[in-house]
Amino acid sequence: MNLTANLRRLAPVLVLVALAAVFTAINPVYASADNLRNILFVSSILLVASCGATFVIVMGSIDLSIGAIATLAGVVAALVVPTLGYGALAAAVLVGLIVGVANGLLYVYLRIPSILVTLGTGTSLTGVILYLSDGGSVPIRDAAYIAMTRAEYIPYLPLVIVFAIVVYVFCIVLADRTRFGRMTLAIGGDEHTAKLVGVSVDFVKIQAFALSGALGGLCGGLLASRLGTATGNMGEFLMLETITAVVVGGTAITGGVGGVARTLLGVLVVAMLSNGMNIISLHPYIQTIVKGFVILLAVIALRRSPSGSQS
Amino acid sequence: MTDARQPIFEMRGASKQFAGVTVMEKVDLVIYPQEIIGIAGENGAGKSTTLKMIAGIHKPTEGSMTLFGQPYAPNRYTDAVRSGVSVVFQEQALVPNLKVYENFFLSHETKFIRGGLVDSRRMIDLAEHHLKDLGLGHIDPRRLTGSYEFHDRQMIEIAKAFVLARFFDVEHPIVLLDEPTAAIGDKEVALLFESIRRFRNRASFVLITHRLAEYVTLCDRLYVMKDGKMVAEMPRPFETSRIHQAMVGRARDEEYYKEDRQLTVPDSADVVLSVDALSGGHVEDVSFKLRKGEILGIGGLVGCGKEDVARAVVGFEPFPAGGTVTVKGKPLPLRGRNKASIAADIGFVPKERKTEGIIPYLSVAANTSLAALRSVTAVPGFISGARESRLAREHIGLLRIRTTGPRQLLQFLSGGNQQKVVMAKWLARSIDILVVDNPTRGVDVGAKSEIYGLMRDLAEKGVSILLITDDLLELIGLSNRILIMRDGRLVTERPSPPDAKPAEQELVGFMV
Repeated sequence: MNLTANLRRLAPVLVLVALAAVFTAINPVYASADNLRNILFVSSILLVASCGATFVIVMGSIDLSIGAIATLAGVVAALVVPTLGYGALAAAVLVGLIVGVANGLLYVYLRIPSILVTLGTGTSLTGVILYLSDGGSVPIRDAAYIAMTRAEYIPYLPLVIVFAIVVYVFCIVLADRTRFGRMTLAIGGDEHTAKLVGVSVDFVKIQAFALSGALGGLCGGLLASRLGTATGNMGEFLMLETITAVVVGGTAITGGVGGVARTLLGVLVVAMLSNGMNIISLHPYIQTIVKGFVILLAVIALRRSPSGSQS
Repeated sequence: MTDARQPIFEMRGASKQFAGVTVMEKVDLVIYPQEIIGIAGENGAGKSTTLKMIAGIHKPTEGSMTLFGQPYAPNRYTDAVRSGVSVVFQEQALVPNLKVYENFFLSHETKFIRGGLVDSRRMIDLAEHHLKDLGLGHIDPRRLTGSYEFHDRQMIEIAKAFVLARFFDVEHPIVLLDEPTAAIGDKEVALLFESIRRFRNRASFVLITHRLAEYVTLCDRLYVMKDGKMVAEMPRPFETSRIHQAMVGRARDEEYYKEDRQLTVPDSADVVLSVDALSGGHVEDVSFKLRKGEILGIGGLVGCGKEDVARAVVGFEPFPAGGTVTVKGKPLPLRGRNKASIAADIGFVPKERKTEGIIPYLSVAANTSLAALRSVTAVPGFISGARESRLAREHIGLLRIRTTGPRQLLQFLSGGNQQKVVMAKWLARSIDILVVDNPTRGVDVGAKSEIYGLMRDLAEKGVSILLITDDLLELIGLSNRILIMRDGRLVTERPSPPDAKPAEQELVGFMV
């Protein structure tokens, strides 16, 4: 492997270092322990959703409903906290799982492109959310549930970060060490070939959407705890940010290339960039412009990479 | 008597090399006005290269061409079109979601600019005029091309050749027909030929086809190529038997096909695969048995149904559904046959390597373990990277796959080495039967020989091979026994022992 190829593999890491250096130079507060913990805190939620999204994207599909799933799951969690307590988190996962399986079934059996299936389910869910929350927000009064994500059983590591690390490691093992993970890559690389070696392509697709949904749901439950309330648009940002994180991490939007391990880098780039731009008080409108360019740069970098090019 | 006329096209001593391999050697060819000629030959004889040279797609390495008395050296296909030479492609080069007239003038729109805008009115008028002139008045130039049936789209392609020739002031165009009948039924073929005869007083045609009978029906004069050389030129009337005698009879190198390593498989050997009364699609009543350690070859022209037989055995949909396929005494089910076939230890090397055999973005190791993931787990359900690498390294050594290592992405390997990985994928599962469809397609000479050696190794280990191939020499050289199919039926079975291999001519007699 030559130097340029190595450089390309390390590109997201270099970007992280460069971002940290630039922001710290402008405002030293950036490198403070409090701020770094804040970055990790924000990253955690995004990482949980992005891990699931990676499986879908690597397969050559896409899940646009992830934001709506998270919001719905958060609202449901907020509604059932009084009766279920911590069990509300499980309810959130279940809600996500159900929507994910529905996405998968529609995608596979009706042969609708995943971008349209999830656009449709996502839009409908938004309506369900408005109905459930009566157009407003559902406050959580259970202090224990709110404290859950912030609890530091391990010093300096709020529980939400622990959650994210567990999900991340679980997904890496799933991606790199199981038949399911390998087959998502194979389907993204060449569906025909995968079929001819006996892969149940349809089943793998449904599983991937189910996983994406379940993790989106978990994400919603955690968000509700962190915010202390469930609002009708709290997960909205996830739709674009998960895709950004996955692609910036180095997974091809066309599928077949990349993986969960790299998604962490993308998540950190997104979180550090947002946080840093706030710290240096960049105008919010300009922040949005910068975020857009980051996506473009990632796509260009990936296109030039050896794994993304045609032989 | 044709000699009395002046040729409109001449090719003199044209040769072509690709990466040092000669595919055309000193080819001479002339075309007279109002003439339909054919170029016949086996796969790889050079007929397609010759056609592409006339069309400006390949440049001759040596030799020259003249067109209408002028030196003719097109750099690309559009140059040929401007000079009055057009190709009607087998896979139709029309854009279905454009209107007919838009297809006619695609890429020539600048010639119709008036006041900065494309003058579609003039395009339509011109298109309409030419369509009527050609007797194709039923085709409306304003309609979407894709809304017409295959035959009419073919007519639109031919009309396009006339329209563009006239547009570039060529009186008598040359239309090259590149396997125009490959994808159509007898009725459409008849319609096409009738139309070509109708147009012949205003153009010359050059036909390439896989069906010899079509040369006999349509052509005035026929060229026959073999191993890149022009070996015969015959005037009407010709017979198919004489054509294929000229086409075949190539020298076969016994060492190349490792014929000395061919096993003798007695009739008493175990039957591992039995196909009985297979029917469906255009396959009818095909039955045969494959024995342990045997290489059974199925030959026949393109479209004779031999690929469908392979598909039925491995469950690659769509496949002929009638009849039964029995493996080691157990019939394969109709539903989920692909999985049942794999479970019965059958491997499949498909024809389209790039889209059916490999996953280009995955590593050599991941491609090798694709069908054998269970064998590389340490803890059940979890792939062990170490075991997977070991499996890959084992097969890299065994098959002499040229790669930088198990982690190299498959897309960076040569065609021959990719094909070896496709075979490794199945060997990693320890198979009993290997079905191969044109295993050396797009593979260089050296890798071909290695793949043949590998097939002999497998047979020695008791693996049975069902070989489907368009390459006659490969069929004869490798097989213990040869089946020939024609129009969906088995027409003959011929043993092919090392000391008494059939001649190409003998087999071709059954194929056409």
